[in-house]
Parts: sequence; C-alpha cells; structure tokens
Amino acid sequence: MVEELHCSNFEDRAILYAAGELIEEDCAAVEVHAQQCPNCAAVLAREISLRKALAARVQPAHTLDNSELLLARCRSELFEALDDAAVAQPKRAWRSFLRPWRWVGGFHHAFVFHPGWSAATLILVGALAGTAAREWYRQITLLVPGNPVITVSAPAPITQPELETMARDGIRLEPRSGSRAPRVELQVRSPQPRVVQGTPDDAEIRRVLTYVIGHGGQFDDSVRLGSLDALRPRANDPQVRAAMSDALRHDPNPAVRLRAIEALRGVGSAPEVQSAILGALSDDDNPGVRIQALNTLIERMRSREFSRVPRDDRALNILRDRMHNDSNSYIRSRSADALGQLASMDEDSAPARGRHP
Amino acid sequence: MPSEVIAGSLPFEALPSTGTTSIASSGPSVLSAADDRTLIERAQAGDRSAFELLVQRYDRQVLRLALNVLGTAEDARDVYQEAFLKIYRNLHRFRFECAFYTWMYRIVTNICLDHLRRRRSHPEEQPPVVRTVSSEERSEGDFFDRQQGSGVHSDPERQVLGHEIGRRVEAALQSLSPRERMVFEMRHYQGMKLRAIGDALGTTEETVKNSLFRATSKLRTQLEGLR
Repeated sequence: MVEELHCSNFEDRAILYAAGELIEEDCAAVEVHAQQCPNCAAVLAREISLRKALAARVQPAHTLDNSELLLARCRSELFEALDDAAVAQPKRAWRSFLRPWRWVGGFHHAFVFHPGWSAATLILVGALAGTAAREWYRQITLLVPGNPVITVSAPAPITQPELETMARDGIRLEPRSGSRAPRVELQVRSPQPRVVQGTPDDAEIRRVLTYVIGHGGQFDDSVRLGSLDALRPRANDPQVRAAMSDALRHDPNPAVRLRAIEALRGVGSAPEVQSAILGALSDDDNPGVRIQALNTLIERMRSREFSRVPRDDRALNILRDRMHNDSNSYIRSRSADALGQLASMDEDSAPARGRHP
Repeated sequence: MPSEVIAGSLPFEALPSTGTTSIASSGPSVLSAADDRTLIERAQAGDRSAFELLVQRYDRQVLRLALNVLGTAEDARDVYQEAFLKIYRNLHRFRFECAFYTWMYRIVTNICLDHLRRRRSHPEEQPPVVRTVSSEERSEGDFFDRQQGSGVHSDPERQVLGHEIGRRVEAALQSLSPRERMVFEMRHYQGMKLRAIGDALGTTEETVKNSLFRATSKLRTQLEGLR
C-alpha cells in the first residue's frame, strides 16, 4: 500500500512506522518525507523515542514470574481443576458420540467411495424406518383402547397425584434455537390420558419443572438437567429459586448439583440461595461442586449488591474451614485468597463507614 | 523499519503452526511433536494429555499477557484458570474455522477485558503504581530526549533510571481504556500484528489501528507531561 504522504497524515503513518506495521515501500516513503520536512522529522523522532521509552519498561511478567514458579503453580491448579471437572462430568466421553458431525464425518468416509454399500444401507435404513414408523403410529393411536388422547394447547391444572406419576408417564423437553424458551411436553395417563404442552413461561409447566428438580430420586438425570436449564431464566421466581437451592443440597447427581449452582449464579442476595451455596461448599463430597460453589460465593461477595449487606459470618467461617481442612488444594488456596481479598476490602471500606470510638 | 518485538516476549508469528500433519502413534513423545490440529482433535475426543500439551504450548504467552495487562499475580492466575477451563469446556465447539491461537486469544482477551472493566468500576482494585520523584524527573530536558541511548543494563544509575521510566510508563498505561490497553499490550509487548489482534478481539484491523492511534496519543501526552 503506497499512499500519497502529506504532513497532515504523517503522524498516523509515523505511529505505524515506529510500531513496525508498514511495508518496505511505505517505510521508505516515510523516511523520504521526513528528510524533506523538518516538522515531520521531529514527529517521527518523537514516535521513535516514545517507542524506546516503552521498550525500557520492565514488564510485570518479568518481575512477577521471572523464575516461572507462578506458571508452574497455575498449571498445577488448572490440571487439578480439570481432574475435578472430569469427576463431575463422567458422561462427557460418550456424549461426544452423539454429536451429529461425528456421524456425518464417519458416513462420509465410509460410503462416499462405495456406492454399493451406500445403496444397501439406504434400503436397510428405509426398511427399518418404515417398520419403526408403523409401530410408533400404532402405539400413539392405541395408547389406551377406547380412550382417545386429548391434546390441549393451554396447560390445564395438574393435580398432585398426576405430578407423582409424571416420571412414569413421561416428560419431554424440546430445546429451541436462540434464547426462546424450550417446549415442554407432559404425558399424563391417569385418570384421563392427555398431553399438556407449553413453555416454562406457563405457570403450570413451571410448577411441574419445579417439582422435577425438587424430587431428584423420581426423575431421570437428563430430565432434571433439562428442567434446570429450562427454568434458568426464571431463577428469580421464589419457588423456582427454592427448588434449585433444594436440588443443590439434595440431588444425588453431582452434574445436576453443578447445573443448579450455575443456574443460581445470577440470583440476588436471597438467604436460601446463599445458604445452599455455603452448604455445598461446606458439605458436598464432590470437589467439582465445591469449587463451583466457592467461585460463585466469591463472585457474589465481590458484587456490588453484596457490598451493601452485612458481612456473612457463616461464609467467613466456612471459608476459613475450607482453607484449613479441604482435601482439594485448589479450594484451600482459593479460600485463602478470598479471605485475603475480603480482609483488604474491609480495610478499604472501614474509613468510608466511619468508625467511632 | 522492520517489525520489532520488545525484549523478553515471543514473536506471535513464531507460535507453532496449525498444519494438518497426522500421527499414527499415541505415545507422549510423538504427541508432544504433533501439530495443533492433531492435538485439538485428540483433545476433542477426550484425550486429556493432548489438551495438557496444548495448554503447555500456549500458556506462557497467556500468563505473560495477563500479568502485563493486569499487573498482579493474583489476577493473572484467575485469568489463566478461567481461560483454560473455558477453553476446555468449549473445545468441542472449535471447528477449525480460524487458527486455534486466534480462538484462544479471543477467550483470553475477553476475560482480561472483563477484569480491566471491573477494575474501572471498582477503582479500589487497581494494582498499586509506585510514583516517586527521581533525579531524572527533576533534571532539565524533554523526557523522550533522555531516552536516547539509555538502556537498563548500561550502569547502576541507568538501571535505576530504567526502573523509574518503567514505573512512569506503567502509570501512563493505566490511563488507557481497557480496549486500548489490550491493543497496545498485544502489539508492543506480545508482538502481534494488527490483523491478528483484530481477529482476537473480534473486530477489524482498521478499528484496532484507531485504538492504537488513540493509545499512542494518550501515552505521548502522559509522558510529555513529565518534562
């Protein structure tokens, strides 16, 4: 790029020259112009001097981690956290096989050069799909002989006995693209078979999902995880919040408990949420859950909203306890850091609050 | 003038390539010589050792960037941990549409920017910048003129002066906006090209160039004030 160089656009070009961002021809143009114009030569000299001054700066990375001890510590903490994450997510490996692009890639490699295999597979897939579709159609039409299924678009009130048998009957969550709420389909078979559809914006659907996450033993893990995700935008609703806190305390699956913490992250200073997070940090037997609880607790304590409420002594006690007694070294060190930060925040805010003798 | 990388930092272009050579064996020594693509594919398939090698390949640059931008070991540790955990959790979404380091730097720079912005809204979290009045400050002459020929290793007096200059530059860097600070750091101290910075920040080269102009202008004003 060789552009006409004038005194008016020389300064920008000089900055790029000093930064080494110009190609050879542009560099030559800058040098020629500077030789002809004393003012621009001064501008160029000034930029080069600035560059030298910046080069003289001792970079904090050199001072703070010259021996790379910090790097080693960061690596060790990271790998420990990854170990903990692996414990918390045992299903991750097989989930990768469910990713569609893996299958597409596999089929592509297997069949693109074998048209015979391709045709045979297509016939087989077609036959299987036809058989399965016929069976599926028979099931939905003959679900209960003599009692046709009623489909209602608006959710009707669901009774407590219906809620209790819902796990057996069926709940289906259908995620939708973007930020739209997922579609939920509930199958109720007794006393009257019916299908209730809606989104978590509907009060009845929300009541069912809240029930699901509060009753970990009754429903599949995937249903509970899906319900938590579906309810996340509604986490400020007191009933939803209480059910999420309950899931965090009592759900048997650590992945569900982790998801519950994530869902509660953005919730304000509700006491039951704080209590559930502290409970998880203090008592959860899964280190991944405890790490997430600790990070969330620190985030909450640093937030502006929490700086306005009185300091939570229980939180401080639990942090001290974790600092000394947690089996996970990352939690011990992070708890110590958090206590240090809180102490310095206290010192900073003490004059502002005005201490009286 | 050729592109110059300030002492101690690795030229960004010198990072390992992202070619597509494949390897047959899975032994650690072979793996350590593998290219990014192979390591990423194996990490995506759940191979922890491949991910750890990827971390070790890039984490020095990440930590250096975080230390230089944030100025405290504690914040840099937080950025490091948060960034690599995020990369680990989202690696399955990486589709090789850009270079891995670009994708990684996008995550790291966003986290650094969040930290810098949080500091701006909570000034009490600013790292301390020691400002002392040195003999050099009291002496006559333009600050930039005094840089001519000054190096930190020439003699003890010059070393002290070098530290003083560093402290002033540090204070001047604090006056930049978070985005200008990132651009300046990545260009001058990480040796990245403007286009690569644009890719990492998710913006155009032209916008990065404007940020660099603004940053340079602010730094010049700040350091000229030390006459």
